[in-house]
Amino acid sequence: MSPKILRTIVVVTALFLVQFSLFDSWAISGVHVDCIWTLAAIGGLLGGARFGATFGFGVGLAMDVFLPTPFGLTALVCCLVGAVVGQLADRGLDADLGPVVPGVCAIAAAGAVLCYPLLGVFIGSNELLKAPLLLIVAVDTLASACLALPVLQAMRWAGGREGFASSQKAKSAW
Amino acid sequence: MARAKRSRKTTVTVVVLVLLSVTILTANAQGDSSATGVRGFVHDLTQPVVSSLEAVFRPVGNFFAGSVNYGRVADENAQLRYTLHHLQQQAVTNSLAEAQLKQLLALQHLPFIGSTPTVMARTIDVGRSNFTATITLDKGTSSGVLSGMPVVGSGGLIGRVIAVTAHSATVRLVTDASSSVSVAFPSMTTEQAIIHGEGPDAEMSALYLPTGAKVTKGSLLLTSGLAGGVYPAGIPVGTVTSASSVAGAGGVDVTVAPAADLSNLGYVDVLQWTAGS
Repeated sequence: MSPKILRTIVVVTALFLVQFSLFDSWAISGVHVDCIWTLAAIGGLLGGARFGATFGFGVGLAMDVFLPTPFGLTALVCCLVGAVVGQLADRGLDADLGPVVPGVCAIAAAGAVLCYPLLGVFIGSNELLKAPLLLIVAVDTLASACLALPVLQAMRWAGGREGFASSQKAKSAW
Repeated sequence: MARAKRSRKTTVTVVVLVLLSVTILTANAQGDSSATGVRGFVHDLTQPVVSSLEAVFRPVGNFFAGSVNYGRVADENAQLRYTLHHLQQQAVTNSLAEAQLKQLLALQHLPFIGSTPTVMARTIDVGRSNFTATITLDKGTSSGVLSGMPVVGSGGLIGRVIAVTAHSATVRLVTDASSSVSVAFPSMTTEQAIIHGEGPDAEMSALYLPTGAKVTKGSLLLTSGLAGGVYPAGIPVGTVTSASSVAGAGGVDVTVAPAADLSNLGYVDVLQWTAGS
């Protein structure tokens, strides 16, 4: 296993532990911060659409193991988040531009939270629509914007010198 | 040319992963138990680490939560002192009433919850997902907890075990949107109703009760214990907070606040009772 993969596993594991031990206990009216959307978005931003989709799917599936919601739903949403943000990165969105990263992560989190129950409806989990969606969107959007830069730095460290990007354009950004 | 090839590869990757996710979701929805097995195994493996870290981070979390919710906590304290005072006064009266109730139940051969064996469990996780109302307990099959067992505590019905591993159990709370409980109304001798959860932190509801139903605000609802039901009879589920007639539908809609204090679930009792037992 390459050092890059090992470092990525370390970063993802650390974020999961922070989620379960810290974020899950900070609840505003029963709603807590989810860092998984930020992680998927940063994956797409740094590695492009292909890496973003694969990375999002992987971390989403890992998160699904710990959640009581339908198994595979987080993987699907994270995969789409990684792919969409990655597509923007492939088309020239620069992760080095100051406010871009928090902004993109905030929008990605809002989109993910809205997609989550809608996709759940397709597999018969209509009850997901009864969650306080606006509050979840507000909490996760704000949290994602705040977490974006620390997660970006952690993922950059994980990617090392060569980074996660496969395209020449993205590689040159490193 | 190279760009088009790369774009095609990306599209194929995304489509394959989306299809894979949908396949996993569909297999799980159709009752494939492999996901439950994986979840149980990983949960048992990681729980000690997460619990240790939680103990370390809890003071930090409490600091932030306390600073944000200081006013509410102060109000809550005042209310709790008032409630405690009242409860102390009622305790003496209740002990007499309890003795009378036991005698009556014995005469009528009704199931009494006090005779059901219980497993005391500690809540180790509350609401891991924002979209569901669940808690995780520190007891599992090794302590006699099985899927489907009712969970009570904090003054009433809390929910039902939906997934269980060797050392943990996931409980779906009565407020979860996919939860439904058959209840008996004290004022209705023969009719019952189903109350549904409306999502985390929301009150429960019972829709389209018969027009003649004499439902009043403050009525206590108990599990009906219907044959084949998933809860034994006589567990307090909630109190009616509002009842309104549905214009044109000829029924009454009722909202119900949980009898149990779902914000305070440190320790709970799992009733070793399964449907049909």
